[in-house]
Amino acid sequence: MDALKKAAIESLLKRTLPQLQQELEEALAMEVTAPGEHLSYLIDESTELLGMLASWNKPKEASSSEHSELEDHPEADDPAMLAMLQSMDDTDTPAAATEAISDDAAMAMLAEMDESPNKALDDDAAMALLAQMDEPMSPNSAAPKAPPHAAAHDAHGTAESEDPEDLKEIPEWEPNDFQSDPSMLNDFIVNADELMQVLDDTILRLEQEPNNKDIIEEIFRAAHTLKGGSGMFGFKGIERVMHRMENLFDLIRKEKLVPNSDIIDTVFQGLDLLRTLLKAVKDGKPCGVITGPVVRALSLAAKGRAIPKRGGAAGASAPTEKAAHDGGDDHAHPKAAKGGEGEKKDDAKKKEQSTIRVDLERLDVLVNLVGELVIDRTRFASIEEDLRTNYPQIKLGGNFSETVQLFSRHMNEIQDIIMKVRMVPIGNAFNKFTRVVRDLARSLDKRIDLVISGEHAELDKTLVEQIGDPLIHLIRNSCDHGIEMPEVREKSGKDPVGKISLDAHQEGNQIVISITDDGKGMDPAIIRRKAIEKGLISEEEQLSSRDILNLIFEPGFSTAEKVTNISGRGVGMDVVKKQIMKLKGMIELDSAPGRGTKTFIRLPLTLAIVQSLLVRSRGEIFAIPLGAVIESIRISPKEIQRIGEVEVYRLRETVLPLVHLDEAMQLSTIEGTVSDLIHTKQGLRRTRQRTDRLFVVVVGQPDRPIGIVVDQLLNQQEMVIKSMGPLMRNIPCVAGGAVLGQGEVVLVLDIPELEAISRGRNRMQTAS
Amino acid sequence: MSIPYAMNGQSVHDQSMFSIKGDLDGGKENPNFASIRQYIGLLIGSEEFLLPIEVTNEIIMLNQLTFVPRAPQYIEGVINLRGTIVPAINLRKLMGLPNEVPTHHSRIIIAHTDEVMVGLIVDGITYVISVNADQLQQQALPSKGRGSELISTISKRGSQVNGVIDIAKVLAETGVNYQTQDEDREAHG
Repeated sequence: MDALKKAAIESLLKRTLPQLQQELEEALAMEVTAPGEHLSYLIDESTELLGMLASWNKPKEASSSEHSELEDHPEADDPAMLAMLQSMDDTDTPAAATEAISDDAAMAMLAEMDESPNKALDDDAAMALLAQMDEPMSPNSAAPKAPPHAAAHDAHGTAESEDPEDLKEIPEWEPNDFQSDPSMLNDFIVNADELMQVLDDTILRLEQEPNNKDIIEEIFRAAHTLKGGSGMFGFKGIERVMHRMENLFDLIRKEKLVPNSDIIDTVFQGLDLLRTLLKAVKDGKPCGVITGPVVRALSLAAKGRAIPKRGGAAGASAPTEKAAHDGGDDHAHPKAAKGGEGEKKDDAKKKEQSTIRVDLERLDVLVNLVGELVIDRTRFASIEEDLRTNYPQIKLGGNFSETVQLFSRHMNEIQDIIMKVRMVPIGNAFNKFTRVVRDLARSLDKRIDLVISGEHAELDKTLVEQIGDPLIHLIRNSCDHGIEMPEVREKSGKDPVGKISLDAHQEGNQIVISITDDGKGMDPAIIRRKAIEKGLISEEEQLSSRDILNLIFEPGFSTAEKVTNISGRGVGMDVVKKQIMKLKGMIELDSAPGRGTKTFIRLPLTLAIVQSLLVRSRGEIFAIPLGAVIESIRISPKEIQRIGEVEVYRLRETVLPLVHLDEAMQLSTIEGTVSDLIHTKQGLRRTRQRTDRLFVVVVGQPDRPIGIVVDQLLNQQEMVIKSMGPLMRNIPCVAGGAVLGQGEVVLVLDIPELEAISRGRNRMQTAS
Repeated sequence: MSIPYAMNGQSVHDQSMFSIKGDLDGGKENPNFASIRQYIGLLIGSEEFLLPIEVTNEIIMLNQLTFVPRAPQYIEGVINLRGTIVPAINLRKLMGLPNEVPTHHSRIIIAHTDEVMVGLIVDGITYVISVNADQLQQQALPSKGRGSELISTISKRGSQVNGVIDIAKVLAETGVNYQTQDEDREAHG
């Protein structure tokens, strides 16, 4: 193995020495005052090689451990090396092959070793170095046998071809002790996620202000930490990519490279790859993704500028460097202001330190338990009330009532807190969109600004996690089909830069997320025609333009292939709607041709504990989540008007379509069931009370509500919505069950579904 | 409906509502203890069926049941089992019998399979019965309704022949494909 290393070093030295000599000669001939970048690179590399040679003279154990540190990145070398390897028939071969250092790895070392003031190196020092180099080389060259020599020659031959080793795959994982420790691995994963987020954010910022030193330092730090961590855990794939990226960042940091869009693109490619690799770590098995091309792209990006090629490239790099310096001057003033920013960062750091990471599973258990306690509290209160009112002969005493009340109050507080614990700012979901929009805009040749506001609004963690996908879909739609090309926008008198705003704010118990674009919008007429073609509505059906626009959420609509081209929207919108409905949310869309499109999503703040309104219909009790309730009114049956088959009621300025809960839920089927028999036995009245007054619960979206007709309004209660088990998963219009104070189960209505079904039926009825 | 408890000559009201009689110790004095399996005897109408004790969690009173509209066939509703919502299957309906007003013998047997927990509404509980392995016969009955399709084993104790209810078959009869439901929903919905 040692012989192999030596051979590798030798081959590299042989490759670099002539270059170095040539450079030196050139430099001397041109009488330049300082050696060029290329020269310092070569000198650096040579120094590095010397260092390695020195380390190999130490005992083997020490040297090998030092290698992994020194080299940072073992690299599979030229095919020649591999061939030699086979010929040597060493048992240690795979490891040995990777020890060989390549051009790029040396390059990386250059990046690492920013301490050495190479630039100042004068020619004499370089000559001295050269002389120094010759010395350790001679004993070494004697050591290896014939094959290494051949390999060295081969290596020299292939030196001109571009780094084939980049394309070679290295094992993605290298098992070690750290990797098998689940808690440490978990720490790494959590940390890596955070670092990735930091990288994403900062790199986007870097693109905006390429000369901001603070940003690049931050990037560099994050990259370095991630690299170190993955190296420690033996995730070689991550380490390799990260390493290349770090090199790139280092060059930027040293102002040897100006980050342009292409470089940033490459970096993002790298980040995407890293994400895949990290996911594999999370999943617990290597994903086998190929890292070569990205690694290569990264190193090319680094090289493209760092080593100015003679001629055109050198000329091109000069102005950029100048620009960098100019930019630096421009930023002299902002730098003064940066002191404040730094303080802010410190504050943020302090805040971070006072937080604690908790396993989400534990938290969920806690939330569930609090949910149970909420039920218990309700039961306590009802028992106390029952005792107080119905059994006056029992002397309860003030203590008991007081305790129950205190318990209730503390319970409320606990509930408030526990719900807040699960809340995270929705900004966590928004952050990645900046990147999405940027990438899309670049690939579509459009110019789009994403304006994010309200990212501090807080939402249940699970909701924040799950809202990402539908939002991305909507934003993509806006970029893709909404925003026009810059020329088109200019012609129609708009700002060539399109604007998409993403906003979140709280409205009562709901979060309202809106996505607004100022693109070309949608034409209801076209959508209407499509819907008729698809058989979603009938020819003579009259719908408001808003209703028509929302037809694009219908499953049948989006399957139309050409809709995208004609109307601009529609693909996958039913999927988006389904996802939102799953989160107990609602989605609505409004658009004006030429002016843009606005999509609203309403989500409940939390899914765990819900304030609900209890209603009775045909003797059965149902709960309506209060978030969906706008108001409840009492009307007389005479006030109900009919439009075709649909009953409506005129509520102030709007016409309110009515749904009878007993009809919608098919409550007539209860007759003869066991629960009906139990009720009958217990003497409960089930028949619908025909009075001259009806109760209507107005639900849905504020601007287009529907009314649910019920027999009776009961009370308002906090309840924990529970799943009813796998057997009862697909009950229409039922979101789940909840346990009431007396221990009975009440069904919680799924208002969005009820709304959709009633609308669907209304439409079908008018259509037929 | 016949009252099963009357058979040992006691008045129904003498009994605690949770009392279950039978070989609760599994007949430990029996030398073939290892080959003995225990069953809960339950009544549907006037016929006695057995249910393996391994799938049984507990037996509760039938006094509250929430009707679930548009629920799968044979599911009568849901009950609250100490905070967990459990669907209740009507065995009478499964066996093609008309519903009757529940009596104070009516019970819900909470039973489980690997995936789900269900309540089985029955007309009464008789005994915990120990059956020797040689008294059992693996036998699927020809499908003739009246619960024959729920039976996978028959027990013969002397002259008494009882069907052993197979909980997996009961769940299959409800027509809910609970295992693949998620995928189905994704695919079709």
